[in-house]
Amino acid sequence: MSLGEFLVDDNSGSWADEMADLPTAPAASSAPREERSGGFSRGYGGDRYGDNESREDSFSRGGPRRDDDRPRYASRPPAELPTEPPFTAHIANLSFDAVEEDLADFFKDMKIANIRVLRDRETDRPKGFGYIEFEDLESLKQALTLTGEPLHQRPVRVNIADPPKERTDRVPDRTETSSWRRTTPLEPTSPEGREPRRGYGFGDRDREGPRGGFRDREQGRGGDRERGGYQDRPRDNNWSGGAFQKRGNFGGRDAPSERPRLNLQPRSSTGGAQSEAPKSNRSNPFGGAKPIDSDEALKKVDERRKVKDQGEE
Amino acid sequence: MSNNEELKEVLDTEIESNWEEVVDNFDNMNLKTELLRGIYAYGFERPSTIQQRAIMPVIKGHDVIAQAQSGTGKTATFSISILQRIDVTLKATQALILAPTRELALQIQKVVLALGDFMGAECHACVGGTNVREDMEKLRSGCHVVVGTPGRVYDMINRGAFKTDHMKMFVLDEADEMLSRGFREQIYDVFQLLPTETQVVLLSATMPPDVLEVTTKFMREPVRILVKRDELTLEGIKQFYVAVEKEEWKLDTLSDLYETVTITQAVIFCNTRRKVDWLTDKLHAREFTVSAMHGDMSQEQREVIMKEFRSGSSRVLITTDLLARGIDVQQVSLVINYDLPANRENYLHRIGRGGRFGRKGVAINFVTSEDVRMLRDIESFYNTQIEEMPMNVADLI
Repeated sequence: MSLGEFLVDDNSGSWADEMADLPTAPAASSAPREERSGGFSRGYGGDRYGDNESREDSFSRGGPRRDDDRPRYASRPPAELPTEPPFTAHIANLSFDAVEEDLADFFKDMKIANIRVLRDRETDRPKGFGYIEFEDLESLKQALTLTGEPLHQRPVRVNIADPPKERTDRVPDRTETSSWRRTTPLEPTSPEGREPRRGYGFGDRDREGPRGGFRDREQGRGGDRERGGYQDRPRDNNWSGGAFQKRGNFGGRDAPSERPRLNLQPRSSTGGAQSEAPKSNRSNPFGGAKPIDSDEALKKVDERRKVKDQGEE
Repeated sequence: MSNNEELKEVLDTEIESNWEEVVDNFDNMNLKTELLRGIYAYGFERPSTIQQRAIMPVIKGHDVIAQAQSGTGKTATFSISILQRIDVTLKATQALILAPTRELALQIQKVVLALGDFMGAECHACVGGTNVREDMEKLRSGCHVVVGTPGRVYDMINRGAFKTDHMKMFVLDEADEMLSRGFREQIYDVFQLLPTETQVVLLSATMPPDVLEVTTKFMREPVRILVKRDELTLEGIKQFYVAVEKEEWKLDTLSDLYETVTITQAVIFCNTRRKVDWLTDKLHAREFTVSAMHGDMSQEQREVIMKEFRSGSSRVLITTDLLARGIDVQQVSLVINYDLPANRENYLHRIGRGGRFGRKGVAINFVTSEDVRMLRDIESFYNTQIEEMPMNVADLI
């Protein structure tokens, strides 16, 4: 098949799908340097474009970048086996389809404490690598022997994960005291105010400066995941608890490649009327209260304040 | 009335509380006449469940942890209590309310002012992004109540513009958010600047266990009014999912839904600011009218966007979790989670932007195959049902 034919051939789907299905070169276990530099690349990875003779049409003909073009990093000595927990392995060169369950399956002979596949924050797609914490050293050692074994047709690379970094920059958390309340009465305030505690400037900060982390936080950025995540509610049944469950069949992987259009019905003439919920025996949090329209009252307040402000100027 | 008794029995099994008193009429709360006038002028007739239970213990000076479903009157609960407790003849700040976002603080200010209208209560909003000098002047002039965001409030107290000597009450709205890792130290710092005896009141729709644990560090034998988590979703808010399979299909799916979305006012949540911008651009390119708001915008911009949305001149707002909590726009009856939220709590807060105070609401979750597990987790966690969106969804809005 020529490249032109290939490109118009709908049956072959996306080229990326095809690439994932192709057999790939064995893991470069003999070349640790390649590993390091290739590990985090997506799509350009040496393994993907490796010299695979069985491929009829070679994407490499078009000249994808070779590993040699990329900057080389000084090779690092392999991490040493940990002597105490956590016994964590770094798993790389995963198919983007591989999720926790697949890894659980792949390492099923070892004692797994926790599995984490890293995902893109925007798209939530797996990034192709992750970490597995094992319960003991033996399991970690055993896992290392699986490097190069295929998972979803890709040779998985298993390495000892770097030990967790010592956080030397961590300021002790002042909230870790038994009481947050003052133990002494307030000192009388001078007109100049109190001694600023952590160098709060007097300049007009349009946005509260980063200094003490004092700004209106927009939630939903990284911090939230860290905090509220579905993972770390210690007492509730959490995400990781379900991590190895099989997924519900929600279309799953053999879903149609075209998006089915939503065939929404137009709003009927009675639209919105037919919605009185059937009453269940749940409690009614409104008590005897009815929906109110407070817009009027709020508008009045707004107007009065406007008048007042103008009066002051 | 036997009917009422039945209702009460059900309630008693679903609310966990160490405070028995329930007052189901504002007239029986021994409120100041001017305050009562303000309450009725605001439109209230009868108190909601949380108001029936929490106003009295707060007025009596107890530390209180009050949990109630979204949109069931928590803001009015603490506002009424504060207004009852303050002495308007004393020109000094006697109550401080902290909220996680400027928008919420500004909204609370309006409610306090409206309810306290006939009392002549002054309430100042002390939030970031505004002119510091004006803020200081306003505070020096003496306001009975201050509502603000932690950074600016701390700053103002430190500068001596905001005097806390007469402070009686400290209210944390969205308390679980305020005590989460991002805010915890700031709240601690504010505590250090308040009189030892200050009464503390916490409110939120969600009170996860780790938060309740922290409260032992500053609450004294608190009255607790908690809702079991399988009672937290509101029956008036119908929850649906659309199986979009892949992330790339979400945009077209939303486009299919656009007509439905514009039946009412709607809020669309994404998980990052960048994605809000991206989605807004894409929809504008398709000539859909939408507005957007997130924390990277200037305070003026934020205020303009909020104003347009509140007035109804903009009808579809794309935003982040910045607006997940507390924001009350009564005409919103549709919430779309373009992305599922990063934690369970915010799911509840997000869908609670619709269906305010007993109105109907619809929440639609876009779910890729990778999200299925998260969706199922939410369902079982809150013991609720999220069904596939029916094609006649327009009739439910």
